[in-house]
Amino acid sequence: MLPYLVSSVGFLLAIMLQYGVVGRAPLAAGFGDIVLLFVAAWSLHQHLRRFWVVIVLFGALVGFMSAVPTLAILAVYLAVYFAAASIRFHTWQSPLLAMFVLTFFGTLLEHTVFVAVQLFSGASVSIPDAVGEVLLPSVLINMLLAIPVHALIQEVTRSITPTGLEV
Amino acid sequence: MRNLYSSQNLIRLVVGLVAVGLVVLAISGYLTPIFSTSVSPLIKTQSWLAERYLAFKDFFTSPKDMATLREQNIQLGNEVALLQSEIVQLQENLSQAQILYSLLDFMRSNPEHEYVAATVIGREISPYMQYMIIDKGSNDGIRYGMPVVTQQGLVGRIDAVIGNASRVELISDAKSVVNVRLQSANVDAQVQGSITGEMSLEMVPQATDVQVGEVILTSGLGGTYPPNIFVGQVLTMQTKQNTLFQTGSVQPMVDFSRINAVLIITNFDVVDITPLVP
Repeated sequence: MLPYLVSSVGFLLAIMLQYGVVGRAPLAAGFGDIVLLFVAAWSLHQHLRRFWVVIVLFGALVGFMSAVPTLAILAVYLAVYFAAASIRFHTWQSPLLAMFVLTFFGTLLEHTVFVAVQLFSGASVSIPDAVGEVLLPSVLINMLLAIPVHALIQEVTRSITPTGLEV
Repeated sequence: MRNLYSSQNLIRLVVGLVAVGLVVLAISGYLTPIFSTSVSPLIKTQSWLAERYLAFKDFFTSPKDMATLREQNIQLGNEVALLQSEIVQLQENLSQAQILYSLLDFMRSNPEHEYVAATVIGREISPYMQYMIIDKGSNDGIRYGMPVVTQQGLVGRIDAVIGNASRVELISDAKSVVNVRLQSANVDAQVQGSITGEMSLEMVPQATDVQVGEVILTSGLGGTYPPNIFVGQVLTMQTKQNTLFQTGSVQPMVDFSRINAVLIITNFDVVDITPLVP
């Protein structure tokens, strides 16, 4: 129960950080997504059978606050969760590498979904601008943020889970 | 009489005369060099002794003073930290007060509207969408579609409302289209946002001579925004052959990345013309 509680608190903190700090610190027109990084890092470090429920609950909260449709946000976060669950056994010796891989492809997926949402909603989207001004800076910020988020989540999950015990 | 001239009395007389002579010489200053020469070694000795005494005294008393000084230093350090935090707090208050004063100035200079002030508490999670979240909602009289401004100009409109917060669609969003009027040219046009937050001027007739720096105001057409609110200035213009309209880029009046507080115009009735759109 404790891991679920801690992950929920962490999710909430990540959302607050995203809306209050990270989202207000752009590089060109892009900025990082600390919530995505939290989902990736937590999914990598702790295998919780029903962590997807936490993702659905808090993803719905993000969708409620955001102009992006909730289903799009849920799809991205759940895809990252399942991707993390599948690769954590293959790259267990180098979790940081797995974190980088997840961050890179997760950000690509997220931005593809966001651009698709914009296209479906009728907005004019310039793909070169989207890649050069938004996607690449966002990937860079996410890759940089991935290191501290990974280290922090690793310490938290270690402290709440006794060694050798898997929940 | 014989006793008067005895040897003892003579000695006394001589000693007395010598003493009186020395006193007279000393008073008259003739003995000063001799005194100086004879006293100098004494003074040096006294100085040496005094220095050693003070050093000895310091050796035994300084640890106590050091402890006191350290304690005082810690106290002063704490006071400095406290004062610095107070300075930061005061600077923050001053900055907020300046923003509020400028918003108040705007409200006084535009008394035809009623306003509710709000603080920006967050930005949209998607970098492709230009939205922000403010701390006033339906409990404060905020409704869907209400225009949002700052003292510098138009910011956007209310896109979604809950009890204590609202989401504002900025005019730089890709889906935002604002009907505007070029002040000097007196021509209607449209300002459109983009996914990167840059704004472009559209639908400017080819025959219109638009100068760089031209002021852009809301026209009020469409019923979405009230007229005569600053939107921005013309940055560049592009004229292409075989097109009906000119296009240009717009420098917004408002720096959307630095907005901390906004005003919502609450007495403006948004006109929904959707049913009339063919």
